[in-house]
Amino acid sequence: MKIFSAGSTLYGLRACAEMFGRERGIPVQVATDNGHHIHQAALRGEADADVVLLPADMIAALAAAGVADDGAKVAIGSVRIGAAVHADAPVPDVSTVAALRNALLAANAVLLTRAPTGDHLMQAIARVGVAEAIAYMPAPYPTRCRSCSPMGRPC
Amino acid sequence: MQIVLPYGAAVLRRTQERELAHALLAFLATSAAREQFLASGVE
Repeated sequence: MKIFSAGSTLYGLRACAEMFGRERGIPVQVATDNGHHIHQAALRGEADADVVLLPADMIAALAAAGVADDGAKVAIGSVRIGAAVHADAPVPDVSTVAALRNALLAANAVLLTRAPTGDHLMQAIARVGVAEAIAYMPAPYPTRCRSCSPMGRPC
Repeated sequence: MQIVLPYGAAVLRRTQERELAHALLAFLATSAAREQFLASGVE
């Protein structure tokens, strides 16, 4: 049995996979990649996995596309998304939406991961109304998943 | 503003291990599994 998981659910899943495998007496492989890569590979029918763990909207999209079994879905939980500032920089006031907006506009740069959490945060930034005003510099995402790509390339 | 992202699991239709995959999903919904996810920061 093989499972692909986005990074946010990877660590909990590893423990669960070990427990499930031990209980059933079977090997359970867990692989990870950027959630977008897993999602796209699954939509193309190229994800070599039995089960995937992804943001709920991607799971719904896979079911809508007929790639995932609509009757076999389960909620895993929610992940809080955090932010950080450089150690030498003053801590900005983000106590209100207005303060957050000002802090974003005052930042030299805003770095977001290319993973689904980064996309989700970008949507939140858009709701604040400063999406076009801030610099959007996605951070490199170094993980690769050979299993998603038969050619061993990043998917 | 609340910034949380919900996650889920699903069985891919192409699986050759349908029964096991469904059993895994059922396991992921148990309290034992929830504890593991909670310990890793998935609430």
